Amino acid sequence: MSIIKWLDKNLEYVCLAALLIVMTVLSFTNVVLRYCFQSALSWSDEVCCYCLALSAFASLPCSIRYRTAIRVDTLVTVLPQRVKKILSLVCDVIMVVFLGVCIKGGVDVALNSASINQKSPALQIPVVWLYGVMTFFFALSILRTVEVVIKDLKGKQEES
Amino acid sequence: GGASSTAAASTAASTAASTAATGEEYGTYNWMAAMTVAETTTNYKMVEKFAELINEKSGGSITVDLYPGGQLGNTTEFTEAVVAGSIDIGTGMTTDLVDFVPEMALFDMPNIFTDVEQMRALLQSDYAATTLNEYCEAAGVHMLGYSDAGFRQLTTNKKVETLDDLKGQKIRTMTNNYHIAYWNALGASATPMQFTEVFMGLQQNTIDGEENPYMNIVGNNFQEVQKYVVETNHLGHIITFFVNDDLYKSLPDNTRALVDECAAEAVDFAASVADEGIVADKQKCVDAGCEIITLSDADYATLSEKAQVVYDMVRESLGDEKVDAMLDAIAAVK
Amino acid sequence: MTIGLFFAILAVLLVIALPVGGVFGLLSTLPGMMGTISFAPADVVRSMFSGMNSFTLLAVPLFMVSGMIMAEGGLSKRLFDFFGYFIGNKRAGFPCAVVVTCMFYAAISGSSPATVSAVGAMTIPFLVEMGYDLVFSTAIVTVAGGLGVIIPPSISYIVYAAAANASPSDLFIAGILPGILIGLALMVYCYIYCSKKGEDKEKLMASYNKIRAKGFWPLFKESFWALLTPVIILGCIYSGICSPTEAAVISVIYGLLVCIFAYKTIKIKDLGRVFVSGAKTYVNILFVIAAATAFARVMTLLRYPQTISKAVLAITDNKIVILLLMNLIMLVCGMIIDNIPNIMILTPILLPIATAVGIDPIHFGIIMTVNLAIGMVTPPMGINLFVASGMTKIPMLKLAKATVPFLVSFLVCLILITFVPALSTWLPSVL
Ligand code: NA
Ligand code: NA
Repeated sequence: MSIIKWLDKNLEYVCLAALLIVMTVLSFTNVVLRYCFQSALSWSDEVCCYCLALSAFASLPCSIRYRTAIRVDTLVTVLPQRVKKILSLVCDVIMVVFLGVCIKGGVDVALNSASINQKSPALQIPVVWLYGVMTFFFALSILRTVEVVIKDLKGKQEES
Repeated sequence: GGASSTAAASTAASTAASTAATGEEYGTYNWMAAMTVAETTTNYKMVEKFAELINEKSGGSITVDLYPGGQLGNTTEFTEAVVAGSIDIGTGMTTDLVDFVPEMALFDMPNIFTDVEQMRALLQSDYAATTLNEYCEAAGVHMLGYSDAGFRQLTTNKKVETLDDLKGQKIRTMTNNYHIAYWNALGASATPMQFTEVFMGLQQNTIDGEENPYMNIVGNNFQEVQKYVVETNHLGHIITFFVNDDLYKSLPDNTRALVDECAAEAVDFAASVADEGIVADKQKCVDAGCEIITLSDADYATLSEKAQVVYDMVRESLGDEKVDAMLDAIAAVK
Repeated sequence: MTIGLFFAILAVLLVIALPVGGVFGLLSTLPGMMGTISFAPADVVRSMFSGMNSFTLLAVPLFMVSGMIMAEGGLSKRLFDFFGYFIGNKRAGFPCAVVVTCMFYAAISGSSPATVSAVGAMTIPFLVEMGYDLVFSTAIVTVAGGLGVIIPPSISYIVYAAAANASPSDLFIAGILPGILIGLALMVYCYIYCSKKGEDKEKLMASYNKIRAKGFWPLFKESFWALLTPVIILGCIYSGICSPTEAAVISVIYGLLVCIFAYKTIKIKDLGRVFVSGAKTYVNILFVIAAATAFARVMTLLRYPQTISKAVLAITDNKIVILLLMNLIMLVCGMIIDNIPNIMILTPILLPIATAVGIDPIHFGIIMTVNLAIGMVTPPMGINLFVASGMTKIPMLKLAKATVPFLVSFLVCLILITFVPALSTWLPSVL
């Protein structure tokens, strides 16, 4: 399997698992350091929180691609197959529009924080990077939406 | 974006201006003011006073809606929004602004003021109005004025009679490298922690103590879970009162003058409630069974001495010039 | 944009099955784009980011991961085998044990979704294995998880205390009896459900006999490390080793250590896969929580809670009716807004009215917390529902429907708590 194909299949999960490992290892280390060595890492909470925030955005393309996002679908399930398919397409289009708005918002916040050179409190990470990564995941979500629409139209289904 | 919608609002406002009692036209504005602190704080009372004054003096054409308690987000979120212009007014403390205006770290240098009067004199000085405001404007905000809640104090569950007793105590600090360095230099173990976690942390002894002005100690009921208040007076708790700079500059001259006038009055009012508040809150700590500990002169000298670590850090990050300018300004108001 | 139009759009988007995160996100952008409020796309994504950039929320995914590890590594099964030894033959024994476990977890955790994820991930697979209906099993935890904010410690009480200028310690103590009362009421419903629907007696007795056949001491030895889990977690919190939020990571690490070294059910080379499976447990809920934060900001700016309260309270000045109406307002707001923003918004509006009709602020804090705990289970904005539905893949409405009878017992308790102040105020007055 080529690298691109592998990345296409696993990118979100790799990101999510990596973020999870960082959150777990770091917050555990901090508990140990604080209790056993009386010295807490000043940047541990900050990094964990950023990992959590980025996980939220990394999970978006993931839930889109496997169609596992939480939705109120009880009412839709009683509809005929044809109508269901059309509504699903309508939802996908709405999602793409919404994600487009998010990208615009993401670029705006990123540029805004870049313009004043905003830094994170503990590690002094330029905040523009965080918003940049968030915006990347919005863009990836659009890509994933398009992918599932094409797959739906072809009548295929992928398992998570 | 947020900035453009504010600009649109102000254009619309100038066409539909109403007339104040003085017969002067100030334009129609509706501003949002955000803060993370509750309605009981000096921050809120200050902005509330400002809202009342400007509404009255503009003949009702300028209104300010207050959103306390983090309704519009935590400090970072609402400050970013003020910088971007979608929220008009913000209030917090100087340390909150350091990520946006690095020079605000000048106020993170511990034990820099000898007393509250000196601190207030500096905040009213030309230095604050011009030099400090230049720094703020670089980040897209204009500082309308400063108030304060007196000095920040240490609260703890382990008695601190001399500074040696601080050794190994887990003291919650804000996530600010200068504060962390200071408490570590004092021998304590600085433990940055999100504010919402502090009460439970103190109750369950995950941390031994924390540091805040009386206003926040009582405002968040820390006196219920703490045994001692140590009057370290280490940092001035300086309350900021800022507005989006583009908005401020876009105001007609007379409106800008009115904003300045009302802000100055609100800041004066805040100083008076702050002093009453400190006395009342201190009494509440005593009533709750906290022992108030004052340090010896020798200990205060040690505090200043250990604080040098932070001064060096601030000099390193801002340059000697800015630090010296601040120290000169303080010397000048003595 | 009128309030009617806003909720009409909300309803339509939900009905056509737009992902809930998208619904909240989109509705957060609309009023700003239509010029009703100043809330640009930049503000929407900023709120989303800021909403998740929270240390307290960290407990939610970590508890879900630890639950996954404990289930996969057989820790949960051993824990429940041990309980089964004592209660396996009692009617509704296991469902009641799950409620008790929720109360137990509630006593260490300050958050409801954390309680749902911690207890749910561990016990739902077990209940299903015992022959209980998956939806029923999930509904128990979804609702009982609400005890997370009612039984102290609780983030809700701390936030309310700051907003109402009340004492969190008093609130903590005041919350004990109402919490136990609600726990008991939920167990009563479990008993009624099991009596009416019947249990899979054959399956239950088979596993009961299997467990019994092992004998107490071999069973104890086998489940020792599993039994130690709550002891370790509680111990870490109460001895001040970690905060209630950090307890989540302790349970992840402890679960991994036990499964790798004691039970040898997870291999070190599988760790990567375990973390991927862990991430899969919360992949569906994080963005919803993020979008809900933006949604809460928009509701604040639109001042809908104020509009709703004003309209409702204009009806009367009778104390009992006002109390009922305030409960109604809090329930409605709880349906559409998340817990913490609700407390921030509603406390200044409702508390003065409550004190005017002679209700103690502590008592009112309990009433509000219980109301909003119910809101955590109700769609469209119910965080417990999101967590549970994300965890079990049960459609949200189906789960919501199954929680209704539990919520009825919750409501009965709410009425009692509202009209019997002593339930909340007696304990703080004697302690
Ligand atoms: Na709790
Ligand atoms: Na709800």
